[in-house]
Amino acid sequence: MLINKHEDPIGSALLDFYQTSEDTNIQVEMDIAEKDTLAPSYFFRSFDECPQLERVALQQASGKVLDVGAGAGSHSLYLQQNGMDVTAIDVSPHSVSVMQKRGLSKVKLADFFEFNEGAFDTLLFLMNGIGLVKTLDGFDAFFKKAKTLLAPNGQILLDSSDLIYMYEEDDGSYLIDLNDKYHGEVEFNLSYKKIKGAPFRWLYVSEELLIDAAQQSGFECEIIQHGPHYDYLAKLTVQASSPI
Amino acid sequence: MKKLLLVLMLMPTVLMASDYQPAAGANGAQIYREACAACHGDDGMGKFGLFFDLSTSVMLADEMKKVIQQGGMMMPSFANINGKELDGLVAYIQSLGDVVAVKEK
Ligand code: HEC
Ligand SMILES: C[S@@+](CC[C@H](N)C(=O)[O-])C[C@H]1O[C@@H](n2cnc3c(N)ncnc32)[C@H](O)[C@@H]1O
Repeated sequence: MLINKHEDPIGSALLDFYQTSEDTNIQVEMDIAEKDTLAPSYFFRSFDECPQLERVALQQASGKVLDVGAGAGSHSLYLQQNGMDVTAIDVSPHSVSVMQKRGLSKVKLADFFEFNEGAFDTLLFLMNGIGLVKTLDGFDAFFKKAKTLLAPNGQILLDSSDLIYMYEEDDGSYLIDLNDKYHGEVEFNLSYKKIKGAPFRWLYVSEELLIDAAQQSGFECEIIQHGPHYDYLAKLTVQASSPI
Repeated sequence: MKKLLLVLMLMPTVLMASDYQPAAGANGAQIYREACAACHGDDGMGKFGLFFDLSTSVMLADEMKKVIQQGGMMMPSFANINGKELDGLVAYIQSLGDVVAVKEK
């Protein structure tokens, strides 16, 4: 589903920042964490300003690339400047217009789950872009869709992190209610100035659960790099034996 | 409740223990610019306005010294900053807060 342009806090903030350099924070509320803010300028990071996992992902990207949930398009822009064939999609109308204004040649306002123009050698999901599966149950549909968009020998590159640190007690043990939803399923409420977005769910997934989910859907999952804080970069490919 | 890291660490290339060595007699502002600004921003407000905001820190000088020397959950440790240099650095960080407090009035 696409975002309504009157309920697009991230996109509106990105557009303001792009047009006027106004860096008013996006307000972020979550059900499991303290409220926080996110600066629109962060979405405009250069290659050198990207966290290391993202830089590795950009270096691993090859062939025809689809940047899913591209935001302000910074990763796509970097790849395009390096002569690569990259398409950026996002469900946020204002984000899409920012990407067009920034000079990206292939930008589409589209939902990943409804996107049909393949095939790609690399699907990129950066800044925990895999969150779009919403819950662990969402992986099934995700991998089905990914298979239809991937060229033979194509790869998915994504970063995520295990939110287990949110539940660490002072003595180093973890307090988790196993009857509750998975600890990485987070409900977000975003706003920017007077613009409120519709609440949405976003998944942060541990390496183990990602690997499990991938295998169940016939994907091979390799953790190519660990970050400094429960975070990692994963590369997923269709298992050789699995019929597409 | 705790904070969820909305973005990945910006400078993971910095090792978790930094071997940064301040020049003897370097003042707080100088050390700050060399060793801290990359994450905490030029004015201590945090790079990109994220979770590294020092200007609103409510830590006491002694606690700050401990964080600087031992590091935090994601903050590297700076064991080589000590003595006069450490005092100067902490004083400098505390002065960042003042500037902001004045600005807000
Ligand atoms: C690699 C990035 C990085 C660098 C470089 C860095 N810090 Fe930090 N700092 C952090 C992060 C992240 C936190 C948040 C707390 C944590 O890590 O647990 C923090 C927290 C702090 C705090 C605690 C603030 C509070 O109120 O909780 C102080 C004080 C501090 N840093 C001072 C410094 C000083 C002084 C330097 C330079 C010598 C420095 N930092 C260099 C990332 C960094
Ligand atoms: C956390 S932002 C990441 C932006 C960018 N990748 C970056 O790293 O700066 C996630 C983006 O995904 C988009 N998004 C969420 N669900 C999506 C979906 N189903 N299809 C395409 N984009 C989606 C959001 O609009 C948002 O711009």
